[in-house]
Amino acid sequence: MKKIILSYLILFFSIIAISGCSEKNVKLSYIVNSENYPASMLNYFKPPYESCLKVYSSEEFWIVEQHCQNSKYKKGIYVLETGKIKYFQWYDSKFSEWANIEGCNSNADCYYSVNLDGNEKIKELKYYYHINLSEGYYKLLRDKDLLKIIGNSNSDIAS
Amino acid sequence: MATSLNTRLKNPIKKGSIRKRDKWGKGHYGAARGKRLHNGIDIVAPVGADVFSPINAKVVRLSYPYAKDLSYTGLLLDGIGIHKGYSIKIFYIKPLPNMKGEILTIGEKIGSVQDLTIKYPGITNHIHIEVNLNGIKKNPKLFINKIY
Repeated sequence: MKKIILSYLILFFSIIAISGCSEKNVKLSYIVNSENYPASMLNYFKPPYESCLKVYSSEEFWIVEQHCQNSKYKKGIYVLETGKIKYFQWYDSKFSEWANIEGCNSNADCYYSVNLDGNEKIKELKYYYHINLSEGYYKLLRDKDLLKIIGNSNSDIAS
Repeated sequence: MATSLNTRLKNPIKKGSIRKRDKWGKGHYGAARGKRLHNGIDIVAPVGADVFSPINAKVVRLSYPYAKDLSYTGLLLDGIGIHKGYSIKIFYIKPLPNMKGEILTIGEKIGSVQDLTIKYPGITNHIHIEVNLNGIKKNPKLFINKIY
């Protein structure tokens, strides 16, 4: 009996360990200079780049926030994963507009982190911000073609 | 570089002084704000007091300090003429109507002080001012001629 329980326990912890190892968390930092935009972006977004384009990137992934409407690109969030681009509408359009207009307090104050599944596909995104006197995050779950807000936090700091 | 004596800033509040300690913190540049540091200065002012432009400027737009509470407002000013290179945000003021795009002379009235005690009971009412010079954040106190 003890052997059976022990076997189940080993199996249980192995599954946890394997699934834990296959998931990955990646931070995507804001790219200030368009000369440093990832090369793969050129397949989708052609220069000259407008100031309403905000690009966050790691080595393998990038996220583009498109803040102005034009004939080529809809407003919203574009994500590159496994070599394919995916479009999402704003998860909170009022917030996104405010964030874009006001701008982050420093380039390091706004960034994304993404959780990937075992197939290197994005499961969740988290957007962190410190803009003017507000700071917080939005936690977003990818649900087909939508980014669903599954958590958020906002603090209004007294100046 | 806009740093000579005649390009200095005017105190936006008549006889305004830097906010001293209250239960929400202190008002000097670099004061503690939780895990962060204060990136501007707070100038004490009573509710409804006049606020004046610290520079010759063009009003870029209204600015909102908070993501979810748009009742508090401010202005973003871009320096012109001898103040070219300055970019200044002032929060906790109710701007005069139709300010966007207006050309201001230093010392011209731009609005009035809002009541912060509604949101932060016990706080000393003040305005918050942030100064960027040629894209670099600066301590506003170093540029304001008379600050008490």
